[in-house]
Amino acid sequence: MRNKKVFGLSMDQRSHRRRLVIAAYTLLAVLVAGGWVLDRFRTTGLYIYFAAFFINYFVFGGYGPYGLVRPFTGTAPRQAIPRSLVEVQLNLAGIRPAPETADSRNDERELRIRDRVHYQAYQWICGLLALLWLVAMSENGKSSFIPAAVLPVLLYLIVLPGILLAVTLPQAIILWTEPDMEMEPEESAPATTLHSAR
Amino acid sequence: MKTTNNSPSRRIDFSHRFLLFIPVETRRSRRVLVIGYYLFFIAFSAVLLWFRGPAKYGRLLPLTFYLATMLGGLTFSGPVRLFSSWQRNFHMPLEDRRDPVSLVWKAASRPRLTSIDRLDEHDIALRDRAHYLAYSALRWPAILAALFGGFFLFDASPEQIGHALLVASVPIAVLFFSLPQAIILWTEPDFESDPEDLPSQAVLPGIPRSDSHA
Repeated sequence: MRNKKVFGLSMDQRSHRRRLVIAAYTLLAVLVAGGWVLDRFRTTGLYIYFAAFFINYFVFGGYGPYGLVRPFTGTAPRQAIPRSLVEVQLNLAGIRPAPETADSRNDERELRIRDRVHYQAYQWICGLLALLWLVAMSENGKSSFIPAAVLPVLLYLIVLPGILLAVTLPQAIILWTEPDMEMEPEESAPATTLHSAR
Repeated sequence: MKTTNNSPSRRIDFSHRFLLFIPVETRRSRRVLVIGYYLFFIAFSAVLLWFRGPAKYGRLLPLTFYLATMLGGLTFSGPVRLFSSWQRNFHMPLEDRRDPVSLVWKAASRPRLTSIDRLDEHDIALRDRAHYLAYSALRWPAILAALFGGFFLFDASPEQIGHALLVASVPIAVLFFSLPQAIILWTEPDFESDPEDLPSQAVLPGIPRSDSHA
């Protein structure tokens, strides 16, 4: 995981990252509820997917070059992300600094965590598929107890969270479970000096 | 043929050497099995769609799970070892067990629950790696569904959406339930034989074997 800020907040501490994960899923839940109220996901369903991809790509990371979690494949972005107006102006002028490839490279521990969280996420998605399986089983029976009008909505309410989770869940598990990031020695040194000076 | 605990192919459970009369000891035969598994689903889907139409296509969904259990991983049966550790906690011999799950298991004549080895670090790494690869591949249907599903949703009725979701969920379920096991079966090397299983050989062709003197 990378040491980064999201909306000006440092994500070094696990509690901050957990709040971010809760906020992201709350936002998606609000969008799902809003989509349901507005047009039963007829048009808004697509925008909910796009919101999930946006969160995944720019905030969570993992399956893209940006975001808090390092790219799972270890590939760096083609060009560095502009972090200031000066860099934006340089980009517009055609001067593009090369990205830091070391920032995107996973070490052995991170690869192990990556594989583990995908196994865990897989179980959750399998659980959702099992729900779908149960609905289909009930439909295949001679006496279906799910009304025909409710069935598409029910299926959609299973498939939509399934796709949202499939896109975001592994990264969310990493952000949720990783411990607080340790301070660099050169950052923590002045505090120690001050403490000892008292 | 047996495999030792130090064998590189421990992910394959050596108590299940055959699956549908196909030996799983060599990688080649396992690859044939994996290809056959997916070809079966393609053929069966085509036949079902041809004769019964898309309305009955959802009936394949239970089959996706049942057949995936034959590959292992999800249950005790099958050549791939059980993935989950909580299921692995069933250590007692089945004959001695009296809990409801085991009674149902016995009544259903499922395979024995004994001889379940714990997964070591290497096994867990292989299992997690297979799931990562499967997950990475299966994200693409979700992305494509999100990108192109919208075009369909604009004009479809709720019933059409329900049918489409049910039809689309069958191939996704086939892959989701079986892909990690298929990756393990596809990539694991051939079983190694124990030295005592191999026929004893002379050191050099010209020198007779030592046991032939006796």
